[in-house]
Amino acid sequence: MLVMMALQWQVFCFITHRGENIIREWLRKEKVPRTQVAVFQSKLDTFERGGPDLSPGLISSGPVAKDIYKMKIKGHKGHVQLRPMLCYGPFGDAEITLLAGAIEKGFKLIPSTCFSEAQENRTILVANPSRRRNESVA
Amino acid sequence: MSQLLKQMRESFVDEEYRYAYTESFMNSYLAAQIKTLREENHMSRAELAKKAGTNKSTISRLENVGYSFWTVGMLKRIARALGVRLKISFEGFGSLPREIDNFQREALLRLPFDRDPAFASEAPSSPRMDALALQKEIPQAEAYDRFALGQVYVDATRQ
Repeated sequence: MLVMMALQWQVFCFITHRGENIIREWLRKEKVPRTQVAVFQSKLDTFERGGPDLSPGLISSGPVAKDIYKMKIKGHKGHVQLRPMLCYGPFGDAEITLLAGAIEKGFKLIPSTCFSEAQENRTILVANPSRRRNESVA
Repeated sequence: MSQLLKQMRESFVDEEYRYAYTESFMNSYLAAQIKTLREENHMSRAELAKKAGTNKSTISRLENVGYSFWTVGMLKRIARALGVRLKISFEGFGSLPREIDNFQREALLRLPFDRDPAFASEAPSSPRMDALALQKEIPQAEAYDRFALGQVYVDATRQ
């Protein structure tokens, strides 16, 4: 008998030195509408159940910088395009960690420092695995 | 209570939030199911496009979780090209947490008509389904029903 078992994925968020979820903080600072946060949370919830295989187009197929990938959350009814930066792992096979927030306007990522910020946060996380949490962004 | 339901009970109080969330889930579900069924039928995007009377780039867009411009007409053509039927229904919010928790590849699978045991002239000979009945200690007929409903995925194409 062949029964296909799905791998349970986990989505983590980097935690700032003040102990805040960096993605929640970014969404609040950017005043991202609640409807757009809902779309974002929905994509994370389905990703945790189905992994990349069942979330085609959600994460860039290749890295946008060393170890860093881009998540693509389409703007709900014309709202801002969310482009959080993430890495796979870095500790397990079936996990991703959101490292920095960014939006896309006119094919440009804002802030332009989002790649380096994500890489720096990844480095911090690798040295200190407690700097992330598996929790909702809403 | 699951963590997901707990989160939903807090955030779904906001009507705009809950409709945006559920619309996004529907988009993800459709994109993932089209991709899954196409792959299970061993079809390329170009082959599915040809059968559905569209082009490859359209199939690529439909298989993206960010796509949201669905039309019933296109979904009917995709269903027919995949050998399955399109079912559209209105649902309450209470069933959503379970639907999300079941968002896994095997739960998205549906058999095309020509491999559907319910429509076979004779019950198909399937050692794997018989094994399923034995292992799960359920009647063989129920094993076939579960198979047909996509509740348990057994690859009937690789007997």
